[in-house]
Amino acid sequence: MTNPETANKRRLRRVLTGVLVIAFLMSCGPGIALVNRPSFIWSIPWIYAWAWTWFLVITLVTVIAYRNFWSQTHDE
Amino acid sequence: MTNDLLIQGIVVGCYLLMLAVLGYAGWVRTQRGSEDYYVAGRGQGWIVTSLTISATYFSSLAVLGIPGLYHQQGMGVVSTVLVTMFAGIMVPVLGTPIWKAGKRSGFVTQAEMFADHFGGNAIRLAVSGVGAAYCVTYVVMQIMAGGYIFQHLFSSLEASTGLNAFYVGTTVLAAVTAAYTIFGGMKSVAWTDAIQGLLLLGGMFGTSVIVMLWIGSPATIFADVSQRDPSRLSLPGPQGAFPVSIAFTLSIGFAFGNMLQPAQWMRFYSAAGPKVLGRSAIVVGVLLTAIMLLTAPVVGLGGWLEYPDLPAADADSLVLKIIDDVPTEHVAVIPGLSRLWPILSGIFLTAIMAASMSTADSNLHAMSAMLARDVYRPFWRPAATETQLVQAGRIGVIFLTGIAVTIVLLGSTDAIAFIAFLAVSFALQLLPATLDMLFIQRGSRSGAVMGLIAGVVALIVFSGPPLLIQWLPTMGELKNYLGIHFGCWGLIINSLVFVSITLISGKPPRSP
Repeated sequence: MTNPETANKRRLRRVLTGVLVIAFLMSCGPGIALVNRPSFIWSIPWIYAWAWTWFLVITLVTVIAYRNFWSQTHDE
Repeated sequence: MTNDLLIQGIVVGCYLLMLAVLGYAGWVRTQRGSEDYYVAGRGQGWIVTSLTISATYFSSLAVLGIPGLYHQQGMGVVSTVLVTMFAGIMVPVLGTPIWKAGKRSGFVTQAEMFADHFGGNAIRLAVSGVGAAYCVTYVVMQIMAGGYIFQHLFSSLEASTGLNAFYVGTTVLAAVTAAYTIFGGMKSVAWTDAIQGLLLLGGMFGTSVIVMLWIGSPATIFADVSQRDPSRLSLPGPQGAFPVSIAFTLSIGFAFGNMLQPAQWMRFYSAAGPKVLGRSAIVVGVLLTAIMLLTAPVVGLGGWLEYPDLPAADADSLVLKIIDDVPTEHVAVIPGLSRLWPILSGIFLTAIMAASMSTADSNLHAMSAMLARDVYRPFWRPAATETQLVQAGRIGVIFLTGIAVTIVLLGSTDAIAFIAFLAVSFALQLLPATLDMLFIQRGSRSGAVMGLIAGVVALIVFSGPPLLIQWLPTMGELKNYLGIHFGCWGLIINSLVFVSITLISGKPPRSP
């Protein structure tokens, strides 16, 4: 029988990886085309606001990954 | 020389003295073994590890090149800067298995790990060759920045003495960096990187504050840019040179290539453990990206409003021009700042120097390890003692510094950003073999070697003939076939060759 904690962690790892791939495509890749216009949103250029939005998403992924994976290794 | 320049010179001098002290401290504390000299005894804590990874990643490209790129290409550059977040995530993702393998088998260089996994010296030479191409290119870029600073500080002396300040600066920066790298090894390099990392972060913040005091708030700067040239607020930018496809393929290069460079690989070995690498991901990925996103667009686009006609060849000197030209009445908005301005501007110059030296020292140190452990020991003196390995590495630093200085003095004055793109394109070629070695483990030795060679040849061919003729092409001559950056062309062909030859040759037996 699969250890439920391991299965949960594996699922979380897959979800975080998926979000990161989407974030990469949206922030640095073809997703930029969605906001590629020389206009503003709240006095900020669209492309700049887009970058900050994805910055927040990736920050969230990084913090979740740190709390669940990177801070729990016991090899030190 | 004016009083202001004298004060700036004294601040820079104090900084160089501090480096000498740290170099001496590292020398005193370094044991005789090559593991201590090259990977600091594998015991670095998270603060030094994060700052040395950051300082190695954030070179003169961050403080001079990226603002210059915003000036030339507009706001679209932000997508390539955001990729620093993904580079940060690579620290624990790639770093943890690399750290474990290093701890288990005593690896010091990246080629040692490849040679152990795939077997044979061909992969060792191929990986070292790609690593050396990255390191030499990056060191050239960093010492050029030293030349720019000296040109700024001592331009008035050039006419009276006939000395070329750029050449003197290049040589001085290279010599000081080589000196503390030779004496203190990884400890000196990491400690100086930590100080340099803090300095460069302060410098980036300070420069953007100065631009805001001078030109206006970010909202004002963006609105003015929009009025004068709206094409600067979207891709492909005013010159049409930065389409989405180039931004994307360049980002792939920066996310992976920069973290596969030999110096970062050695920092993964040097960490005290995986938790240290996890914490470093937050500092590198979140903190540094936030600072880059906040500061560089303000400096680059604000600088464009003030210097719209600055030619592409001088874009790297934008920050130096701002520090030089900011009118006193704007600085005086903050009480007391105008009196302290000569010292502060000296600190800004020091920050630029710190950015350059922190990357140059890491690459020189990594190259010395490669020379000692991947060339000297396996091919020249297999029975070399630990002390001999350290000595060979130290001689290697002198030799490699000489090569880098010679390349600059022979006349390579291309844009810092372009040289960085070229360097990460070399390191990016290590990605297929690295992913196979760490996670997949199905590739063959011949596939890995031939893939690497094919990737490097492809990136040279796709970058255009000038690379073959005059060492480095200029930005304008950059060729990006089908809108794909040449580094990614190398990666595509490298991966295809790696997979094809692996399928033909079959998986070889692995060492246990």
